[in-house]
Parts: sequence; structure tokens; C-alpha cells
Amino acid sequence: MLLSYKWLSEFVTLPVSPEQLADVLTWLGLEVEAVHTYAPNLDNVVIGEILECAPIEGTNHLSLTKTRVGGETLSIVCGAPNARAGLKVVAMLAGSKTAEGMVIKKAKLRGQESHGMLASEQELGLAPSHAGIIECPADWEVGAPAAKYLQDSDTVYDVEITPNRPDFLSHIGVARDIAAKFKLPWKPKSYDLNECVRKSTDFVRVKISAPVACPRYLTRGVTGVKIAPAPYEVQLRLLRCGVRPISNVVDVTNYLMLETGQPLHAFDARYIADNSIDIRFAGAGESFVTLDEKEHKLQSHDLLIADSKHGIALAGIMGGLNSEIREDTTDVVIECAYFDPVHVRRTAKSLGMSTDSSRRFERGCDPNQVPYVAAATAALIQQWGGGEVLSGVVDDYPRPIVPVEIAFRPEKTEALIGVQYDFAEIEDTLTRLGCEVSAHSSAWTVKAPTHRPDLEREVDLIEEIVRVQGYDQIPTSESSKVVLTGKDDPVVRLRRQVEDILVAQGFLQTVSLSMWNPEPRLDPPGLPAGVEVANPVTDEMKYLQGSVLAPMLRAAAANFERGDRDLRLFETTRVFREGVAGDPRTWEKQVVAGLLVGRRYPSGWSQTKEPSDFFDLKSVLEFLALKLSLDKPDIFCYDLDTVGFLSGQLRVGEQVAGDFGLWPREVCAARDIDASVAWFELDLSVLAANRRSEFAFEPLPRFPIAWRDLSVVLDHSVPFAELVSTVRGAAGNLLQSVWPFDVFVSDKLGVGKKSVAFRLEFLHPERSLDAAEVDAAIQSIVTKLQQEHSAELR
Amino acid sequence: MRDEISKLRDEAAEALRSASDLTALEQVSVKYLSRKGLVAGLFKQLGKVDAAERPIIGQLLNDLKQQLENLEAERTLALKPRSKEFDVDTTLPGRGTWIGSYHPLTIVMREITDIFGRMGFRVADGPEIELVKYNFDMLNTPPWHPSRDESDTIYLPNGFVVRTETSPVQVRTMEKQDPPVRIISPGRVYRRDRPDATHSPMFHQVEGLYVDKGVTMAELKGTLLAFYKELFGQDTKLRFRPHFFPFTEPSAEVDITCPFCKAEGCRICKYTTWLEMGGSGMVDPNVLQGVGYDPEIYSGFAFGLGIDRIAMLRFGIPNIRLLFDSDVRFLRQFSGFTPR
Ligand SMILES: [Zn+2]
Repeated sequence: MLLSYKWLSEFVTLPVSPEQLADVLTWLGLEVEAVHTYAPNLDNVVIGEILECAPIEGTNHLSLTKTRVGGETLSIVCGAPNARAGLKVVAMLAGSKTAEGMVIKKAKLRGQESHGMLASEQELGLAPSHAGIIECPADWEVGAPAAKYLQDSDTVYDVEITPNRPDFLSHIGVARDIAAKFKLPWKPKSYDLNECVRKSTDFVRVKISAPVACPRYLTRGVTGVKIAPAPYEVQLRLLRCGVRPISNVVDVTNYLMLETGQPLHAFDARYIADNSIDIRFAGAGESFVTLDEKEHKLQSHDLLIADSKHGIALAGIMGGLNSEIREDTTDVVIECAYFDPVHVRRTAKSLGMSTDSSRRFERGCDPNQVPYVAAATAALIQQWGGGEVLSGVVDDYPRPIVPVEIAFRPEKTEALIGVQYDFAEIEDTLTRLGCEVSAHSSAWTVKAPTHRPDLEREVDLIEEIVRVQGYDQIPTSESSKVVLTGKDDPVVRLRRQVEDILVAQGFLQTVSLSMWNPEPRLDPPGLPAGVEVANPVTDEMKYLQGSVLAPMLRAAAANFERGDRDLRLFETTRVFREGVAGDPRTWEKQVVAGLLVGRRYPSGWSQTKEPSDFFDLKSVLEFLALKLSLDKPDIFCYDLDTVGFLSGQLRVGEQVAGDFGLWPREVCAARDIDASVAWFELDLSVLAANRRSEFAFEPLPRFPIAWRDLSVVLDHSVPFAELVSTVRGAAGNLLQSVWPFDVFVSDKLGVGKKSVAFRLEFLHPERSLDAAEVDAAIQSIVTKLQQEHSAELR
Repeated sequence: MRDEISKLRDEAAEALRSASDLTALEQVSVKYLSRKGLVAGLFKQLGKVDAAERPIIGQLLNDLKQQLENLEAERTLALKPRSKEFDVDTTLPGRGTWIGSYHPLTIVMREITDIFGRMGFRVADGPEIELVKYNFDMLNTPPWHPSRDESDTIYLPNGFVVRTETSPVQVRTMEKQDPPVRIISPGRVYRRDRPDATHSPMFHQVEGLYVDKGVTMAELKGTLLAFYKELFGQDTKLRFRPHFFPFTEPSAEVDITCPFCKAEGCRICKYTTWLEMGGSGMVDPNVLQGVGYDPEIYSGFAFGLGIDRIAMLRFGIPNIRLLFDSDVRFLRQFSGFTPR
């Protein structure tokens, strides 16, 4: 919304400068996005008249004019499409200066002498750009200094209006708040209406067939109007407020809409068949052409203003091409109505239209302002276009909208805001905003004005009081109340710990968009796409991710391409899948996912250079399981022959916490990664639900540990885990721990054989062990290993 | 006596330092530190010292002996033939270990949750896929509000909404719990914005809520001021601008003085000296009623702020995409942070 300083000051004497007003508007809740200052410099600018105008050959759009500027006639080259002989213009003579600071000189353009420039509003700094040069009214005196007619400066504020304030879409509405804030008297505006004998009721008949959608419809007539341009200062004001001047009658409707917030429409009475207007819903599929020459197929919820034959306007949105004001229009029917916001919004949305009119009706206009605005319209049409104003109105108001009565307890303002407000000030503020206040007891009754449909409840009035009296009056208080509200969400706490653990393990935390689109031949196989959205932002964001692993692999590939080939990445995020119909909480889970590729140790002057592998991944998982005190974690690996690549599941308690694995080079090659990539993705809720909460210290052993190393050769296919269970079974309960310290495969050991060396630790809680006991245990282990796995001692 | 001690200290120290091999060092040692050496000689004179002075002089002698013995030990190590183990280039860096890093959003998020945690706000969490009921209806969003449009908000084909703010968590929490409620809800939110330098269809928010008996807008202002002082420095100032949010009434837009130019005007604050931080206000009675709280008994405040923008301001990150690109050259720069 563009607001003019001058226009506002017609209703209230503004107590601040144009620069300061921007701040005032901000403090009233209007966000000022830009301030435009119009202050024309009219030195050496005069009124002229084009005597001759001829296109210059070889140019697209330039004309050579002979322009009379008082005593002399100058050759002036002009590029405007509306330059024509007989037109009165504004001529910038040599020495004048454009708004952009360019000094006009005599010049040669395309071989033609030019002694100045014919000006548009933009060049004079009068208004934003407008097609072509200024077309002066015929009665402006040629040769007169332009300052005589155009010395008109103003400041215009481009403000953002919040959707709850329809009244702010008008100068009156904003001026009213300024007057309330500064406690200034209101300057009412009145338009003189000279009605003739003939009555509007004899001129047009109205029927409201859809009273819910159209609670009030008022018309009046003006006959014998002469269509012409509106007075220039009106055109200038419209231009500055972002509306293109068209003709006196149309300009009246726009002018009063900007002033009062009431959208208006003017019909050419000739094109209202049978002089009858019916406000009715469209027939399904009924076609209608709006005055922007677009044809619409209407639905039965779209409200039409129709004559006896067809639609003549799309109610509250746009007039029809068939009944618009033309150059030869003489008899005008003014429409001033109140349309229901919901209906206007629905039609505007379904037709994809948003007009100055629809934006106002959608937010809610003031139905009780209608007669005043209609009278003003008639008066201005007569003032700018002549003719006779028919007497009276045709006012159909089947469902009067009455002011809302609000029970108001003034002390509630202090209770909610935390600072005392004077009751007399409260009453004054509300009254100035247009409320009727009965403040006889502690329970007041406040009637909210119909131009403020946002005021419905006590709290809405409190907001008004605080806003108008100033948000800067709200103190800053620090509460000293004790509020114990429980612990952070358990998954949030676990997530923080997981982050700490992985960062300590040298992982970099990533955050990536959780929306993606799978690329089946490029992404690793077997990953779920996720949940498809109905209206993706772009095609690349069709799904809420089913797993973050493929997106992470893409990120890894991008890093690879830049030469970063040693990557340890992790992300805590959410993954999505279809869940229970009514419960979105079942549609997602929080996960931690990681990728591991490249060297085992960071490159340095003394580190070995071998790549990391599946067992580096297992270390990370073991570390995570330990540090999170997971209850009975089991890092279970699948049989390679069944699955095809190294992978497994992290199981905790009875639940599966997630998957891990190693994508072989062939898989990663699709993304130009020439290495295998280890990965994991774990469900944080499952981890959080399976943590040991209790811990008790174990007494230190009182007797020394006895240990032995064993090295056996056996079939490559025997898993270490089986070996361990055989060892444990054979060793008896003195065996404390078993772990491998060397594993290797070599043909020197025999085809398909491997060597496994492991350390065994024995301990008796009550006494020292003697060597013979341990040797006996070792002997039974060796025997058992031979029997069960054909393992030979090395 | 004091002078003698000091003189002997200088003399002996000099002799120990200038001994050029182990034999020479041994001789110096014998001269000063043996049982019949010069230091022992001084100890013998202790008996003659005035009784009042004696403990002090005794302490000085002990110190002298200790210092010279340390120096002797150091010199012995230095003069001994060195083992191979020590024959290294000490200017080489350490062997190195993988260095992890927290994402800048985590760094900022944790700082924020820490500050609010100290003010008694608990972290609450909720789903990113939401019911329209929680994301809009119960937040008092009017049916016509543009934020509901498919052009602004991502929906699933079944009508679920991908949450546009973290306030649904507040409603879910209030439904489960009686007042007092004092929570913050950090998390990812989604809007149908095309990605550019300052917009991303996914970004991060922290929203806060406090509902109790007698909560006032002055407390809201006090809470936010205390928070921003902790985050941006004690000289930070705060102002409320009137605004409209369906969730709150009255509503305020929160501005703080620009911490980058100390409110003198700079490119970051566009020379206004103020930075817009987010919305806030008193929880609308409709919202309280909707979760079964009696607005005649309880009142509350709510506020929100954008984490991505704070992180970008904080670290001078010019483009929001850098946050979501997983570029390790970017991520590694944050390895010096260990947030709480
Ligand atoms: Zn600044």
C-alpha cells in the first residue's frame, strides 16, 4: 500500500515531518519498506504545445517536434509514443535538470537539432514512470512556467499491511490511527452533493439473490457525464499511489478507494440490460470476460453482478468488459457494496486473480461506510465530469452488520502487559479509534466500529491500547518465579551425546536438505525413497528422504571431486516412511547416519597409508555402543553369500537400532568414487530406549591374571565368533577374556587356510592360579578346537 | 649470612653451568654439594645465627641446596651421551588424529538452548510431518491465511503438512501437560521457498513458550533481552514493534541493536542500527482455550527466532547454501568449537 503524506494530512494535521512519519507508521504496526520523495525541480521548465510532430526516418520511435513555448517555437526531438501535434506538453529547456540529475542542453540527435526535452512525470521527479510524456490539460497557458501548475511535492510510503487490518488499506484508516496516537482532532471531509429531481430508483433496479455473499448492495446514478481526463493533480496523486489514471469516472472510483478503503465500480448504464441488476451465483461453467479481456469459466460458488441477460461484473473482483466505462459513456451506475470476505477470497483464489478490490473485500470492508462513499463518488463524478446526480440511492441491505459489543475489564491490560495503564487514557484511546465506550463500572462495554472487523475480544482491545500508546512503554521485567518443568526430551539429549561422541571420533557433522529425488542407477541399491510430497519445491525435492545415506553419498562424491578423499561425515536428522494414517509421529524417525571413506589414519609424516575398511566401521559402532551405555548391543553381520556385500544390523535389547555396511567400489563408482564407502544409519529413539541406567563398580581382582597366547591354523571359513564360543565352552569358568591379536590368510598355511592368534586371560576370584590349572584348561581348549574345527596348533 | 648464601648460589650455579663434561661436573659437585662441600659448610654456621633469624636462614639454605641439586641433575642429563630416541626433528608436527567438527548450526543451537536452559526452559521435540490441526488450526491461523496455501507450504498427498514452524510442538506439549509450561522447541522447518542466497526450503528455528498464572508481556521483553544480551553481548538493547501473528495477541516483532557495528550503522543492519530477530507476543486466548487452559486463569508468552540467520551473522557466512552443502572445506573451519 502506498500512502501519501499530503493525503493523510487532509484528515489530521500531521505533527511530524515526512521523514519522521516513517517511524510513526512503523510504531503503529505498518512496516515501511520504502519512502519515495517527490520534489520537482521546475527551473527552466515551461508549458508548451506541439505544433508539428514528424517521425525521424531511420529511427524506431523518435519524432521531431516543433513545440511552441511562449514566444518562440523550438525543434525538440521526442521519443514518447504519445507525442502528437496539438498536445500541450511540459518542455524542459536548456539548463533545466532531470530528477536523475541530467542537465538538458541543446543537442544533435540523429542529425536533428533538439532544443530541450518534452518531459514525463518521471523526468521531472513528479511521480514514478508512466507511459509517455505529460499530457497537459487544454487550459494550461503555453509559455507559463511549469511551476504554476506542477509545484507539487509529496512523500509516499510503501508500507506492508498485516492481514488483520483492512482499514489500513486506506488513507482514512491510517490517518485515524495517527490521530489517536497523537490525540489530534479529526478533520472530517465532506463532498457536496447536488442531486437532481430524477431518482436513482427510477434508473436502476436491484435484486440480491445471494444475500450471504452480498449483504449490502448500493447503487446510484449519474447522467450526462462527459468522459475526460481527471484533473491533473488527481492523476498525479493516483500515479504516486501506484494507480494508472484512466478517465475522470474511473479515476473517481480508484481515488475514493485509496481514500476510504471502499472498492467501487462504475458501469455504463447503456449496457445494463433492462436496467436491472441481480447479484447471483454464476451457473456452473458460465463464461465471463473481465475488463482485462480475460475469459473465465465460472463455478457455482462465484458471485456475479448480472443484468437480465448476463454477468456484468465479477463481484468484488473485477468489472466486465461488456459494461465498462467508454469514451462515449454518459450515464453511469455507481456500485458501492459489501461482499462477504470468504466468498470473494474463494473466487479470487480459484480464478488466480488478486485485484485492489479483491484484496480489500477479502480482508473485510466497512459495510456501514457504503452510503457515504457512494455519495462522495457521485459528487466527484459530477465535479470532474459534469452531469446530473440522480437523487437518493438504491440500497439493498438485507442483513445489516452491527458493531460487535465487547465486555472489557480495563485492569486486564495491566495484568497482561505488566505495567499500569490509566483508565481515562484507555477510554480515550479506544474512543479515538472509533469505539463506543460505556465506562460506567469496572466492566466496560465497548462497541467496536465496523471498519475494524479485527476487534472482537477483550484481548484485541488490549492490543490496541498498547499499540497506540506505544510498545516502547512496555517495561522489561525479569521474573523470579521458580519453574521446574522437567528434563529435556530424551532423544534430544541422546542426540547431543551422539554428536559429541562422533565429533570426538573425528567425524564432521553435516546438515543437508531432507528432501531429495532418487536417481536409481546412481544411488546405492536398497535405500527407501521416503514419503512423496504433494507439491515439491523443485523436482529434486520430490520426497522427504527415506534414508539420508544416498544424499550423504552424493555429498561425499562432491567432496571427492574437489580432491577431499578422506571423509568421516555424520548427520543427525530424520528419515520418513509411511506410517499410521492419522498419526504423523509414526511417519518419521530420528536417526544418526555416518559415512567413512579414505585412509584409516589422517595423512601425516608417520602414519600408515592403508584405507579404512569394514572393521574401522565396526570400531566406530563399538565405541558408540559403549559410550552410550547401550544395553546388550549386538553388532550382527549378515552372511556375505546371502547379502552380497558386507553389512549388518546393530541390535540392542530386543530391538533393531539400524543398519551398517560397506558399499563396494562398483556401487560407489556410479558416483565417481573409486573407493568402498562404509556407512551406518541408526534410529535414535531405539538407542534412547535401550540404555543401561544403572552401573555398579566391580571390585578389582585381588589375584594376578594368568595369560596364554594360542596360535592355530584352520579353515578360512570358520568364523572367529565360533572359535570363541568353542574356546569358552572348553575353558571352564576361569577364562576371563579372549581376543584376537593376529589374523592372516596365506597359501603357505595350506589352500583355504588361515592363522588366528589370540590371547586368553584366566583369573580365579579367590586365589592365585597355578600353572598346571591353566595348562590343563589350554589343553582342553586345543583338543576341542581340533575336534570341532580341525584346528592345528602352529 | 644472607649475602654469603646469595653469593654462593651465583658462584655454584655458574660453575655447574660451565662444566663442559661429566668429569668436570663431578668436580664441581664435590666442591659445592658433597658432605664436606661449601653448602654443607654454610649449614654448619647455622648454629651461630641469631635464634630469631635461624628458621629463615635455615629455609634459605634448604632452598639453595635444592636449587643446586636440581641444576646438577639437569646438567648431568644434558652431558650424558644421548639415546637415539631423542635424536629427532622437534619441528615436525604431531602424528595427527582425525579432527571432527560440529556443524555451525549445532554450535549456535547449543548456545541458544544453553542460555534458555539456564533460564529454566526445557527442550521439547515433535514431528516434522504434522497434522494441519497442530501446524495451523490450533495455532489460531485463520482458514484464509496465506501461510496455508500450497504455494507456501509443503503438503503430503494425504493432507499432512510438513511443518512450517516448530510451534506445533508447543501445542502438543500443552495438550499433554498442565501449566506451568516453560519450553523451547528447536528444529527443522520447511517452506516452499526456492533456494537462493538467503532462502532455503528447509531451515531451523527455536521457538519458546511460557504459560503460567500472571505471565506478562513485560516478562517476555525481559526474557528476550536477557537472552540476547547473553548471545550478543551485555550492551545489546531490544525493542518491540507492533505486528500481527495469529498465534499471539498482542504481537511484536523483535529488533535488537546491531552487535556488529555497536549500533553505529553498517552493511549488516543496512545502516538502521537494528536487526530484526523474529516474532513474539502473548499467546492468543484461542490457543490456550484450544488446549484446555482457561485464559481467565493462565496467560503466556511465545517467541521465535531463526537459527540459520544467526549462524550466518555470527560467522559471517554469506550464503545459506554453504550450511547445507556438506563441503568439508567449510565444515572443517568449525573444528575449533566445542559447544556445551
Ligand atoms: Zn550494524
